[in-house]
Amino acid sequence: MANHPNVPLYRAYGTAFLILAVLFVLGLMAGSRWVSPSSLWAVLNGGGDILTKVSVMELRLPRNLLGILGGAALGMAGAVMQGVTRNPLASPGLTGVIASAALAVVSLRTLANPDAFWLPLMALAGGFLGGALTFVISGRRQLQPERVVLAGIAVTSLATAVTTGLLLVSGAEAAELYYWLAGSLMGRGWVQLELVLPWLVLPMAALLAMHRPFKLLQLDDDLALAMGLAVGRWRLIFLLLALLIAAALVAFTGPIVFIGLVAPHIAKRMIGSEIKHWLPLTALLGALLLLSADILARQLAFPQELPVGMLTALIGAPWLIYLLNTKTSVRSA
Amino acid sequence: MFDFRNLAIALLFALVVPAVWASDQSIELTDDRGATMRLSTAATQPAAISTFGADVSLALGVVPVAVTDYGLQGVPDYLSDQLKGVPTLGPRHQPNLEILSKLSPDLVIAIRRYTEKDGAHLESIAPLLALDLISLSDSLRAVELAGQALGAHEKAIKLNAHFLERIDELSALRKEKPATTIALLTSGSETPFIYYEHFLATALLGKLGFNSIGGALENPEEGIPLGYRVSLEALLELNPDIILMLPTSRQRAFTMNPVWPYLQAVQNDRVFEVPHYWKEGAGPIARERILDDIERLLLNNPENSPET
Repeated sequence: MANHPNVPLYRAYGTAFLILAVLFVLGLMAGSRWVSPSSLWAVLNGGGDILTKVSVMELRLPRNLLGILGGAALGMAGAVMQGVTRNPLASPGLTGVIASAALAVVSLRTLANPDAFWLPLMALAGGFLGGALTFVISGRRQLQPERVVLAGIAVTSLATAVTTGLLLVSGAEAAELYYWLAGSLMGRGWVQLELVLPWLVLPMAALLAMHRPFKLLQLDDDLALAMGLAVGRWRLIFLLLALLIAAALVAFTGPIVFIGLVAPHIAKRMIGSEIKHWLPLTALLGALLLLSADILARQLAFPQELPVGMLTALIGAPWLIYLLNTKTSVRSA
Repeated sequence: MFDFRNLAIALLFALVVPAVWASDQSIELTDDRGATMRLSTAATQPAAISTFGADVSLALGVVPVAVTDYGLQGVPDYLSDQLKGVPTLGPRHQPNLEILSKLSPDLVIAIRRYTEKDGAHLESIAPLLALDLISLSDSLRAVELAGQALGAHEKAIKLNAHFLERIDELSALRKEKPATTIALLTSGSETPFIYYEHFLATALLGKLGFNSIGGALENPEEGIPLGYRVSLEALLELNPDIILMLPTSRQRAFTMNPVWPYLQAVQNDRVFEVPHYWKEGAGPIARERILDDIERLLLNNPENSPET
């Protein structure tokens, strides 16, 4: 890890906020019909024609907000996992959390006719089991990067195999579930945003508030213990909150991978040793990544849409290969 | 004296007549894979790895020895009475070949896109008639092929002719009426799936003056994809006069979106749920039922057949 911010913090935050703001406006303008800046201004002031108004206020606005919130949540979940396990390859996607949460949702949707209220609870249960299994397999104490990744791959494979089995008996619903498993923000609106909001905002606020123990967990365990931190308890609290965020989001968007891996790394390169800025900047970058991927997903195959999970995987997979190839330098960073 | 000439004629007669008789009985068919099969006699024990297979067999008076189902949803509702006691093979994309082989069918009538990968295995059990069952022309051709395979060619031709006549009769009811736009949707998720114009049910609607807003596939002869996920924003932009929705096992999330009430079909109370056979309606029974539904919901109901 570098000793000083590699990018001045005001510049890092300023640039991220500016790009996010531009993307947010772009996200309000882009869709099946482009909305001009003047029409957008009119709609935001309560005017405009009804179709534009409905498109912007009922579809694009909540979708943008869900993209920002979801990206921020995934980014933070990844940073927490990487931080408290001191493992640069830890992330919700690579620890089996997302695949297990997805399995839980697919099980519920295949075998029952659930109310939307139950989806986050089921995703949470699945994500918790998957994440716990990964960390148990990889060894609770050492949590070496390679072991965590291998254990995560094993748990993900297991969850994926069972999911595939369920898809085989899901009959006419299989196509629905396949699409859901690709991860998407398409069609998500105020209802989904309201349902997922408490599951994301409260844990995220708690994580931001607990910056001191988070900073201490970056240190060697013995040193953190000497400074009065109950390392095991805090690590568990942080991991549970990260898991809660990632699993709850899966319930509403489907599995969206790699944001939780990529955003923390970019943020860490920017902030150097300023750990207290890691989570907020990661949240901003995660939001930026997911929102930009979603805008691309809306436009690349117009009038159809691509699943955003596919795009984030296209961005994230090369990043993972890069990280694995530069493992030594990443560890020392 | 021994007459060699008469003996030669008798031998020739004995050899040629059965051969001619046999060739009269054998049936040669080329399915939609381009594979040619030869049946020595008409099939009497067909197995259906498709809703179509069960439908066409029953329509031609033959009860199949086995059928596929929709996983946990079982066999198609509209055929369930006629298929009581018929063994099921599981879902059509993963039929249980062990059960199939034990039942010794003499023909497998299959949906091509789900069975192509298992073609060799299926053919080791029985001759395979793998069919594209997507468009109207697919349906007509498939019924005729199945009719030949089941020894009911004439009946199959009559079924097709009757069906086409009925389309003409119904389209006459719509003459001189303005074209009406329609969307055939499915999905229980936040995003509906809309069918292209070449899909059988939308093609029938098109013939009867209801234009699908799903549009045309660039190469309709390829058949697949059947449609695409349409955003609610695009749906609002295209704003169909009528929306038809296939059933799903759960409440459709897209209908809860705040945009839904702004669609004119919703505002004018022109949203209808159609039965599951609309999804795989290539069989003679299903496609007639689709026409029944169109007639009842859209043609005989003045409110749903806009004059203005």
